[in-house]
Amino acid sequence: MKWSDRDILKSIKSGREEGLIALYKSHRQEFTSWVAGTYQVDQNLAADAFQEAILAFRQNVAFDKYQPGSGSIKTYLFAIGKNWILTYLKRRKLGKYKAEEMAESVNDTPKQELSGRQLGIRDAVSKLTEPCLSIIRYFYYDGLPMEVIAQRLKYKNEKVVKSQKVRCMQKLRELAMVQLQK
Amino acid sequence: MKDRQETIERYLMNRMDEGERSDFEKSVGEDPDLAEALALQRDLMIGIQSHFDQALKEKLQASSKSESNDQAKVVKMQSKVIWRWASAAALALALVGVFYFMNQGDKTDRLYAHYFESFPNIVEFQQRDEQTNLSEAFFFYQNGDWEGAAAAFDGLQSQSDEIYPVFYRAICQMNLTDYQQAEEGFMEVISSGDSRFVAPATWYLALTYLAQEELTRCREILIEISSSPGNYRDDALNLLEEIE
Repeated sequence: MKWSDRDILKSIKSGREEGLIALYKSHRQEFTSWVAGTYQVDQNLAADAFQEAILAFRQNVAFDKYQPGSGSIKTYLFAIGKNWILTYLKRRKLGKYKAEEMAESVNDTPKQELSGRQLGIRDAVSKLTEPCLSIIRYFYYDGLPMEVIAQRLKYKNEKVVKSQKVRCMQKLRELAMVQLQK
Repeated sequence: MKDRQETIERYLMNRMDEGERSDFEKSVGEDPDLAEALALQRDLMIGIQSHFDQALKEKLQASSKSESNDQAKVVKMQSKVIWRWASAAALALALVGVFYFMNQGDKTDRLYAHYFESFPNIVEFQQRDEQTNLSEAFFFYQNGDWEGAAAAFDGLQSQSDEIYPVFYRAICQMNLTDYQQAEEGFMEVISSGDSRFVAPATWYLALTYLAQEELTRCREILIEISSSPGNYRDDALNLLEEIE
């Protein structure tokens, strides 16, 4: 099956990963060769940049920060990946490029290290059980509306999911506190 | 309090228009409690995102590894063909055959990857009596530990007359590419008549045939699904069209 840009967006908006994986597989080689050649970085760093570009793209689509119609997904993805590399090189002071050539957008560039609290929360997420793990993923990661979550998890209606989500976030806070006290 | 939390979430999730956004930012500047609540919610969302991003990264890496393996298999297959067929005409013929075969397999693989998605957990919060074992099984399941989850569902099956462990174990087996076992499981679920699982089990049964390239059986089931209303009707119609 050939994935069109529209199929990929639809797949991401419904919280599925197949479109992203197809996107990753179809452009990874081209991107890493281009970046490694243009910015004289090794293939592994170029591959990291592309992976980060895919993650940033997913998030931008899920939370409506990506506007379709402003060019192809490939162009957008390559721009994010390029910005990531330029910012990385700037931070490492390895780049031969000038400051004004640096990333235009800070949103899609290498993230700072996670804080202690963020790390504790990240670890706490892996301790969550169902239905909290699915609810939290669907809502905060996939950006799915409550009515879709209710339908997927066979809840009576979105109000029930909302109340469950509040309990799940409370549970996550408690688990994070335990992680932070370790 | 609840409204405030929802407002913070809408801000962080880019669900505000410009005016509301700017009003909210002004309030954050004036209210230290709100600023702290925003910082906490931001950290929660970053932690959540980081957890699921890590899992996605692993899938992306695994997909590029499996692609490299596929390419290695292609090279190996081609060299065998060359060895066996000395004459140029026979070689050309064989390569056409291999190419056709691989494209067919490739097509079903892609369709399968597009349509297969593990079924969500709809059981755990309904079955309080078996909560501990269930939580363990679904913990493995949700984290993609298919072998661990399959074993845990096996254990649950021996303790319960319910059909859901058979269903979820079959989903694990699909993820482990053990399609024949999965097929048996889904048939058992369908014959149980449990209204929660019959429709999804029928859909997954069609996908097990797709994965095994048994397209005639796959088509028969898809026609059955698409001939009556239900959650899987549209997917079944689309998949049928793509197979044809």
